[in-house]
Amino acid sequence: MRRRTIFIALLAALGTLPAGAHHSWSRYDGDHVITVEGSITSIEWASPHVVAHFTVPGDRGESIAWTMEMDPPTLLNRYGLRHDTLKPGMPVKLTGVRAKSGAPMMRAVTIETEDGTVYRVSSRV
Amino acid sequence: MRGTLPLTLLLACACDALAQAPPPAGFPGTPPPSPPAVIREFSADPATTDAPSRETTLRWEALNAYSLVIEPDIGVVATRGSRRVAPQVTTAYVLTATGPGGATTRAVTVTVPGTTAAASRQTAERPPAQIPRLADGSPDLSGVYSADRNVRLVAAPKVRAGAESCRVVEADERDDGSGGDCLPPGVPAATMLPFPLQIVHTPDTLVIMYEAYHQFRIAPIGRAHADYLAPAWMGHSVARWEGDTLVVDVRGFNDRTVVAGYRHTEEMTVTERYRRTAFDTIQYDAYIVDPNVFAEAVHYSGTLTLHPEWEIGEYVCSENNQDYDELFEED
Repeated sequence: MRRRTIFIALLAALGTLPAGAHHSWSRYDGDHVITVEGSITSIEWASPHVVAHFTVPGDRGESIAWTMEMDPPTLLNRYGLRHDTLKPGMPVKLTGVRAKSGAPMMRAVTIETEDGTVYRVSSRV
Repeated sequence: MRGTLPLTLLLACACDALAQAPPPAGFPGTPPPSPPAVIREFSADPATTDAPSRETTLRWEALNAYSLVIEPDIGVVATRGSRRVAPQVTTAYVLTATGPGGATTRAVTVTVPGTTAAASRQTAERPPAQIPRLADGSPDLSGVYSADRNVRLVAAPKVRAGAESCRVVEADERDDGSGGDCLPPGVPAATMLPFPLQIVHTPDTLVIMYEAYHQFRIAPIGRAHADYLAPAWMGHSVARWEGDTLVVDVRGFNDRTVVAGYRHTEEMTVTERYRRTAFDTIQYDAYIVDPNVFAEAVHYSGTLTLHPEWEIGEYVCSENNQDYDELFEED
C-alpha cells in the first residue's frame, strides 16, 4: 500500500488528482443563516446536488449573480419539489448558509416562492 | 476547473490511505426551523358517486412531509398520487401529512346518495400488521427503509495508542471525502446517509440496494467467506441467523473509506445486526473492528423505518459533479 500512497502523492504534486467537488458544507458559514431574495435564472436538475443560479439586485441597481446548491433530485422529489417547480424568472426567497469566503454562493435549506409556499430543499432541516 | 488534494494531507496519516471526511452529522450551526408540512391538493373526482360501491378518484400532493396517511382503508401513500376508491356509504377521507416541521390534515368527503356518513375509522382501530415471514419461517426483512440520520454512534471511538493520526482532519476545506468524488461511502456509512435503501430478502440471500451512490451488497445466508477477498469499497458480506436477528459479517474492505471520523486499514471488519422489531421497523446495529486503529469495537445503533410508499430513485452522482472552486472565490 505504501507504493500506492507514494503514487497518489505524486499525482497530487503533479496536479492531476481531482479534489472533491461537492458535499462541502465545511465551505459554508453554518453559524449564520441568511435569507436572500432574487430571481431564478437557470436550474441544473441533476445529482449530486440540484443547482440553481439566480440574480439579486445590488445596492447600486446592478444585478449580482448568485449560485445555490440543494439536495439531489431524489430527495427533493420526496419533499414535494418537482423538476419543474422552479422556473427561470421566478422570484424566490432563499434561506441557507453562505460561502465562508463571502462569495455569492450558498447552500439553501428552504425556498419560498411568490405565492408564499415554502419548500424544504435540505435534509438538514 | 478540477483542484488537487493537498499533498500534506495525503502524507499525514499512518493508515496509508486517502483522506476522506465522515458523513455529515447534521446542520453545521443552529439550523433554521423546518418548513411546515403542506397539503397542496386533496380532492375527490367525482365528489358524489351515482350509487354505493361506484368508483371515484382521490388525488393528493403534499410538501415537506416524510409521512402521508389517508384514512380510512388506504393507509400510507407517497408524496403525490391518486387512488380509486368505491365507498359503500358517504365517507370522509382524511389525509395527514407529517414532516420535520409538524403535521397537518385535510379531509375530503365522498358523498354516496341515500346513505349515511360512515363513522370515522382510524388506524388505531386496525390490528397491527404482523412481521412478514419467509418461506422458511424466518423474519422477512424486505422493504424500502430509511435511517434518515438516526443511526448514530453509541459512544465516541476509543483509538488504539499510536493510531491518533488516523483521525480525519479537514486540513483543506476542499477535502470533501470519497463522496465528493462520487466514490462509495463504505459500510456502515451507506446506511446512515439521508437516502433510503431497499432490502430484498430470500431464504438464502440478502440484497441491499442503496439509493446513495447506487451501491449494492449481496450477502449469501449460511455461507462462509471465500478464502480470498479482493479489497472492495463496500466489502464482502455473508449472513447468518442468530435467533430472529440476521447477522451480516462484512470484511475484505479497501482502506479508502472512513468510519466514525477515522481512516482504517484493510483489516477492518464490520458486523451488522438486523432485527425486524415490528412491521415497519428494523433495529440496526453495526460493530466495527480494526485492531490497527480502534482499541475496541465502534458501535453504531438506530432504527430503520419502513417506507412502503417509496421507490429507490436514480442517483447518478457523476452526472453534474462540478468543481465549484471558482464559485467560492470572492471577487
